[in-house]
Formats: sequence, C-alpha cells, structure tokens
Amino acid sequence: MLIEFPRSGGLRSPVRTPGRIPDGIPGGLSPALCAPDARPEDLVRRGLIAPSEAIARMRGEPQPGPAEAATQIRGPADHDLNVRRILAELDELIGLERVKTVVREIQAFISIQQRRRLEGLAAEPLVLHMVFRGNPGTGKTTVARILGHVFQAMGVLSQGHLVEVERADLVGEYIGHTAQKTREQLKRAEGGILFIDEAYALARGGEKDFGKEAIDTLVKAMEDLKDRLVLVLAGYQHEMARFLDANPGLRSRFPIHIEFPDFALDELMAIAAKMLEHRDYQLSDRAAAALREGLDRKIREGMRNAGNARMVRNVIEAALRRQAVRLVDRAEISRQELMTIEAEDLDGV
Amino acid sequence: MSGRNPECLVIGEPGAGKTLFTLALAEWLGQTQLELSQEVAAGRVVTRTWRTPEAKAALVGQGPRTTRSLQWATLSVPLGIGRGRKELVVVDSAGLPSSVSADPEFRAASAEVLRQLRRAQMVVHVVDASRVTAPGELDRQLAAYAADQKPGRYMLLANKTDLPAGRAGLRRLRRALPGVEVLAVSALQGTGLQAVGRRLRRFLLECPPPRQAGGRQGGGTGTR
Repeated sequence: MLIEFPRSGGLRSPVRTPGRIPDGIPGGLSPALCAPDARPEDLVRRGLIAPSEAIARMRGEPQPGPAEAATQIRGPADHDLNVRRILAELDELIGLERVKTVVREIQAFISIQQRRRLEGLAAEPLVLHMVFRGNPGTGKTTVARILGHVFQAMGVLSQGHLVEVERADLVGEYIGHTAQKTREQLKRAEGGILFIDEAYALARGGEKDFGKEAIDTLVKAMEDLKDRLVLVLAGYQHEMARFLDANPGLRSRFPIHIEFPDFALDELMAIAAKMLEHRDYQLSDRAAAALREGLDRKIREGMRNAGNARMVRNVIEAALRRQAVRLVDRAEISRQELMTIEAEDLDGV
Repeated sequence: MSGRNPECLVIGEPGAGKTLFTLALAEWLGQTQLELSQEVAAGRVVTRTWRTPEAKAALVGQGPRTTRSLQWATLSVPLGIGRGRKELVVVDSAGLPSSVSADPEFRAASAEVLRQLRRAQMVVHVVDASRVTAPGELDRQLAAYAADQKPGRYMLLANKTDLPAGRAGLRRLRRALPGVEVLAVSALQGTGLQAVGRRLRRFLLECPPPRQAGGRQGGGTGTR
C-alpha cells in the first residue's frame, strides 16, 4: 500500500474535517436553535442563512476597540501566522489532548532554538524523528500530516509532505533490491516526512530477512539526510515497544515518542457528529441514543478497533446508505428528512 | 497575504466582474504582470506570476462563479508626485450568492469572504449594473454594513456601464441608495478607474504606515 499526500477519494481521514462541531450534540435537530451565538459566517457555511442575512447580522457587531487594534499593530509575521493557522487545524481534531500538547511543545522548542540561533546562543540540533504508538484509526497519520505542514511553515522542512509506506514498499526480493527500494522511498520523502506504518514488520523475518537491510538503509539515511527528512515509525503500542527494545540503536535515534490512546465514547460521538455535519446530515435524538449505545457496547465488549475513528466512519457510512434505501421509494421527501438519520438507519451498530 | 500591507477586499454577487475589475485595476496602475496568490488549503498558498492580459484570459469567465476562492495580489499605487508609492493587497473574492447555496463548497467560500469582510481595511463592492432593476438584498445589506462598519473605507462600483443596460442600472442604483456614492466603471474597457484610483490613494495616504497595518489573522480552514 502506498498512499501519497493528499489522499484521494472517499478515504478521507475522518477526524480531519474542518468546521464547527455543532453545539448541543448529540442529536439536536436544529443547529440554528442550538447555537444562537454562532458567528454569522458559520451559519452561512452550514446553509442556515443567506450571505445577505449574515451581513445584516454583522452590522451590529462591535468594532475592534483600541486594545484589539493595538495587538494588530504588533501583528506577528506571516511565518508565525501560518504556523498558528496549522495549529488551529490540529485543535479542531477531537480528543488527542496529550498529542496536541506534545505537538505544541515540539513547535515551541523549534521556535526557541531558532531564536537562540539568531542571538548567537548555542542551539540544540533539531532531531525530530518520532515514534507514534497507538491502534489504527487513532489519528497517527492525520497528526503526522499536520506536523509536516508545521515543519514546512517553520522552515524546518522544505516541502513538509507525507509519504506513507509499509514493509512491502521498502523490502525487496533479492540481495541489493531492498536498499534500492528503500532509497527510492527516501528520495520521494526528501524535504518531508517518511511515515512507516507497522514499522516492526521490518524486523519480522529474523536474521536472514531483507527487513534488516531496510532498517540499516534507513539508519544511514537518518544521518545523511539529517536536515532534510523526518522519519516517523508508527504502529501498535506493544509491538512497537518490543521492536525498539530489540533494536536499542534505533531507539536512541528517535527522541520523540507520542502515544495515541483510543478515543473515549464521548469523543467518538463528537467525531460522528462532526462527520455528519460535514456531510450535511443530522442524527435524530433517538438515533443519537442508539449510536451511543452501540458504540458503548462495542467498547465494553473490548472489540479491537472499538475506540477508533475509522470504525465510527464505517458505522456512519453504513447508516447513510440505509437512510437512502429507506427514503428512495418515497414520492415526497422533505429537506429535513433528507438530512436526518433515524434510529432504524443505525440498526445493528 | 502580505501581512504588512493594507488590504482591500473586492466583494459582490457572482458575475459582478470582481476578478476582471481587480486585473483592470492592476493594468491601470501600470502593472504589466502581477503575482497572484491563492490559498488552496489551510495554510497552503500557491503564488503564480501572470502577465496581466493572460491573467484576464485565464481567470475571467464568461459566466458567474469563475472565482471559487480568495485570490490576492500586491499592487503598487503611486501616491502622487513626490509622494512615492505604497503597496496595497487587493483581495479578489468568490461571489456571494443571494440565497442559501446547496453546495457546501460555495457556502464555505462565502463564509470565508464574510470573515475577510470583517477584517478588511478597505472594501470595494462591485455590482453588475446591467442587471440592476432594483438593487438586491445582498447589495443593500453590504452598503448598509459598510456605512456602519467601514465609514470612509468603502466604494460602490457600478460595473458594466459600457452597456446601455449598465447605464440605466447605474441610475436606478443611485436612486435606490441615496447617500451612497456610486462610481460608474467598466472593468472590461478600463473606464472609471481614475476615480477609483483617486480614492485608493486617499485611503493609502490616511492609513497608518505599512508596519502598523494589521497582519492577516488566521483564516481558519476552508471546507474543501
């Protein structure tokens, strides 16, 4: 599997969707009533009012006072603005609080090292190779992509793109093939992030396996391309820990470790609401209750993937199809009905 | 966008001629080429250098809604003999529809335009005068908004006055919006730009020196 940024088609990362989380989730049927103080432009985005109505509402807004004007005068450079814009995108992700903190720490650290360098102070070399540990669907790729943009905006990486690979993309079939394949991927990722999913698969085959050759090539590249490439090793918590224990030389080269916990029930509900809002759908109150109950059951039954956003997306997409089947033969369908997911659409969650 | 130079937002309904006006203004200011930037995704800006006539051919459509997202260029405006020049960022925007659009992409674009409207130092409102029988709700609200929120920093342009229908529309517009100064222009023929240039100059002379102009605030993410 080889997925290049940006991902195409329907496989959009579920937690990436921009836009507001509707106030009053889950299940509120009238967003307009749920958010009386929403900004006019947000109401326009959600299709609740026309632009002319928004402008009429904006007429009454207070003008920026002297204090606000003063902060504008000392407005930050474009560079920082871009970084802040990207971090705002990170903030829109649901949950992931610990991850957000670590990303901000990294960003602050880079910023300070850059300032120290300007002042002629000793600056720590930036080693930004990372290990992401967590189950699939917990936001690892999404966060890696955002980090790429942050590094690009800060001038750490020239491109900031994400190249996502797994064992099959790196390991070859005969002697010499592996180094060649691995170098190709490294070349593609130069200036950005090389994201290796299930990195421990590289060590799967034992001593004679070509996976070891891939690891060696990667380690060498980490020296040669020090300033031009960030390597992210990703995978399940335990497998990753075992992998790094078995390769102590590797562990010392990855100073940043980020854990991606499974999402909690409330977070999964918020993710579902955001996905639905982005697609112009809503849950009826009963559907929201049914969804919550279904997700809760999955978590309690300890289903693998229970706490992940991909599972929520699958559930939601199945519900959209069921709703379509439920409505398709009707003679008349109201706008409200087109938008509403009922409990029966969630049968079997 | 530049972050340091004052910004002028070009706003109006789809098909009013905002993009052609922006390019005609650049041409009138003597720019044979311009760097046009577009935000293609959150924080990702693509900048292209165009020769002005080529930009007109490529970016201006025959119908409404050719411009789908914000695009901006820095123009250098002469302030008069002995006063040098000042840079102005002209932000061309996607048209604001008169009703709720069914397309989430258009709605997101409209939301972004409204956010820019709030923070723009200067607003140029373009109306297709050839279609004015009576000014629409959007145009009325924009004029009223500007009177309250952007006093002295707003221009209403009646575009397409090269057409007979445009000249008739101009008269109706003036009658319907007493108290609002309506400037007649034709972006296609480049007429009426002198008056626009004069007002831009006045605005630039009055606005604080470049370093003190507000930087662009994070525009957030567009829904794409």
